Amino acid sequence: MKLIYEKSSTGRPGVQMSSIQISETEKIPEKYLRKVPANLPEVSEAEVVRHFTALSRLNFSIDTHFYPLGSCTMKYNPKSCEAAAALPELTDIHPLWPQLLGGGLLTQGSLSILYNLERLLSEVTGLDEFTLQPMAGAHGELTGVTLMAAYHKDVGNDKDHIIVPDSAHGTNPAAQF
Amino acid sequence: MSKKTPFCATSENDQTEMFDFLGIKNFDELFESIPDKLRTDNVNIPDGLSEMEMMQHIKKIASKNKTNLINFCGAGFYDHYIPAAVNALSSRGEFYTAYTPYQPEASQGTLQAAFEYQTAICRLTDMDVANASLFDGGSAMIEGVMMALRHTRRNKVIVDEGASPIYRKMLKTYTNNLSVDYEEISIGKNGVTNRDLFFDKLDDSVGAVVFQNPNFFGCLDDFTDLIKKTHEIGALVVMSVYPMSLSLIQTPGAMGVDIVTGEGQSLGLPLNFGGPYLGFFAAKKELVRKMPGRIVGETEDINGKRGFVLTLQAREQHIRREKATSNICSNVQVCALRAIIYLSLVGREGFQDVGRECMDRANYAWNRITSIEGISPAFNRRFFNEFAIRLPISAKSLVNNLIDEGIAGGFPVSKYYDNMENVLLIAFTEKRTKEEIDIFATKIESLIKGI
Repeated sequence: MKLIYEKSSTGRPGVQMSSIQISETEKIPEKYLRKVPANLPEVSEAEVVRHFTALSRLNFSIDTHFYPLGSCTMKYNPKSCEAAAALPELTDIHPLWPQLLGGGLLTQGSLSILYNLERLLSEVTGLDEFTLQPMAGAHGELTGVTLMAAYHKDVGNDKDHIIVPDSAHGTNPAAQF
Repeated sequence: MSKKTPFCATSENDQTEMFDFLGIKNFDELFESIPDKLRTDNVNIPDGLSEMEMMQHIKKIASKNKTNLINFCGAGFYDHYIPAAVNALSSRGEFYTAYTPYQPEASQGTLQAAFEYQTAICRLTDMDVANASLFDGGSAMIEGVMMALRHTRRNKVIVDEGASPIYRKMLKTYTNNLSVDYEEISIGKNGVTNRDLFFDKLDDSVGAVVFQNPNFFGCLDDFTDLIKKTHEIGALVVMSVYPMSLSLIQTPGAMGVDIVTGEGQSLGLPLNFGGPYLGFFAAKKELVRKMPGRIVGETEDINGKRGFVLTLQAREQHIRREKATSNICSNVQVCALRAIIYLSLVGREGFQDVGRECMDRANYAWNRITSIEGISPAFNRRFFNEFAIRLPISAKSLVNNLIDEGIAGGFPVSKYYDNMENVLLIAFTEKRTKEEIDIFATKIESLIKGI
């Protein structure tokens, strides 16, 4: 299939963003500015829609096929979960708002969801505390290793060895860098 | 057997049939080989709700968030408009529920989209190669530093305090446990890199240098001189960038940067209270074999037909384990997909238009706000869409008062920088109207007078 760049035609407009200029921008010296615009595709919205719809159809996925693969939990995710997570009250929240004085009150919904999920996952794992900070399994392993290092440092243990079984996921040994 | 849910596919009849086939009577027998001590019978979680009840419940909780604020808070995460087609296309189940593209014949859609995304990142940054994405701007910066140290076989990194304090904190946490010598240089009086301090610290033990453009204060800089000197002592430069600014601002590639990282949230991803986000990562060609993460390449199948595959996989953990360039074995593909759809939609011209509008609004705000009595610009007027102002009062308390007026009035930098109690960082995107900026300026003015 052609790349989106190969469908490009000079001057063809995509999504129109806005057109209200509200001030003259102060000129800043040339050396701070980009010389040539980034060569992004010039395609209409309909072409973008067709292109990515066509690409999606080249994928094998859970929604299209039976997928009996274990390692990366190819389970069915209820569509209602996606709908709930896409509520604008949850998506339009700036991550630094809770750091503003009085800002915690702006984000009580998201904070209570995070808190309750932590409690539930603590219950499921049988452990006392939980962090939702890591962004994937490999990141979680790194967080775990960092936590262990912090513990040993804190209690004054001089330790620098980690044992990883050969049966562990490839990210386990790599987490030590 | 617990309550039926629509997410488990088997009926009682189905189960009986399967038990019969296996020659067992019930579930307990199925798990008989697992010893009692390895089982738990006491997981105390509440019963599930129906879909309708769950949605009602979550809507009630979500309504406790305040979303009708006029937002001028940026500090690395920006409130840009997202065209409807981004959601419509990226949420297609064929993309959303696809597995890691280890089997290229079953993943051409994902692979081609990733390849197009990588191309876009290279074109935005003026770099040779990009990976298929990392978790976020902070983790991408960390990977950039580790790669530079690996390449130079040195263990010292110098970090400009103009780089996001959040990313610096992450970087420090990582390097803390490794034999890495981490040093920061404080920001100059004009808000950009302190040259004297930097050149003073630069010696041939340094393997990596970290800058950010625009920096945390929104200030733009020309890093050419700093990069030249860094290269002279054999170190590599990692630069974190705000991708939206690359619509108009000098590219890292043109300045000679070796490794470019950044947060891609502004390219079609909602603020989402912090994630999932999109870490992008690009580098010079000669560094490609040292890059972390997945890289998608173009190839031909046995019939000479174009196809896309994960490439240079010897860098990755599932091939070389302890010798891998990184423990990252994943990417944030749906987020990268959103970015390439966004960039395709706005296109070459539209991307510049969005950038110009952000800059335009920030310039209008600069004129309005810095002319308020008692307020002065913290630094010079070289910014993209974000700048810092010095207030006659504490920035924290002003922001606190603005919240009551329905405004998220910026980010008080004193949280991360000393002696900046009165400095407030404010950001403007194409979404902020003239009226909103006027309201913002008027409220600031009256609050300052009132205190």
